[in-house]
Amino acid sequence: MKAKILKAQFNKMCLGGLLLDMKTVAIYSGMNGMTSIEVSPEGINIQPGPGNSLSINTMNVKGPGFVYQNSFADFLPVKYVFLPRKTIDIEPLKDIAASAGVGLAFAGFLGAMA
Amino acid sequence: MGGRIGRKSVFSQEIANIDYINNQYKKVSETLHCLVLDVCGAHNPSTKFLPERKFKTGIYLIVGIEETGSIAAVYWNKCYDYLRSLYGTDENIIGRRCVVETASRSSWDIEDGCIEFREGKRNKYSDESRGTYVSLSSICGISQNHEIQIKNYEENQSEGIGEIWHRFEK
Repeated sequence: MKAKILKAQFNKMCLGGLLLDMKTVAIYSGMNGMTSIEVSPEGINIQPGPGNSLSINTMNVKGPGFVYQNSFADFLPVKYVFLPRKTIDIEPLKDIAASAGVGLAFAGFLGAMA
Repeated sequence: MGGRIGRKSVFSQEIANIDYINNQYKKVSETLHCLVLDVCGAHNPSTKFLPERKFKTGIYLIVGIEETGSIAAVYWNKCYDYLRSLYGTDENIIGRRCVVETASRSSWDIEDGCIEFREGKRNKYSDESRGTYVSLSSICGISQNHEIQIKNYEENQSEGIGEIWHRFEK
């Protein structure tokens, strides 16, 4: 195993570490190292470990072209269902719209100058 | 400009000799085995181990010296990044065994000495090649690093627990 290991202390009491392998980079912790984030050329493996949970502390989880939006209103009885709402969220379109706004303002300015 | 040592004049030879003598004085003649008791500096200007001292600048490691049974401050004369990125926070440094190389046992020379965290021959280290992490990525179709994973299931009966820092009430 050609790797570097970074730990706070190199002893058995220190459970967390960072492993830098030739191909894989992993952040791990736990008694058996079952909690880890592993980055490899094939993908990223996020592994909370048995009995543990994965927490994403945000109301907006974004992906390419969409966003999951959760709100506290989801937990109101009857009115809402307990499911995240997936909406279209295309960032490049926002940029294009912003650029168009600037372009129009610039064109207006040039028109006024003329 | 070239160095003085290579020149052949009597004057330059004399200067070279003086330089040599001065360098000899700086040489290490004492190696003291110590235990880090506290880390002082602007962030922690006073310590109960040396109540008369105030540390306003720099980083000083307060050490207990085994050979003399005394407490001394040793100036950290290396890069601050080196201290923090390699050895960590104050709490991770306190309790570590170290060696201070100094010209003499005077407090002045000890303060100016060179502190190093050397490993002891008595420490029995663990096998760092195994016992890192267990990956379940193959369940999701991501291929594992098999070398690391196989190592995790190997046993090494002779490995130790590594170096444990001394713990004491600060």
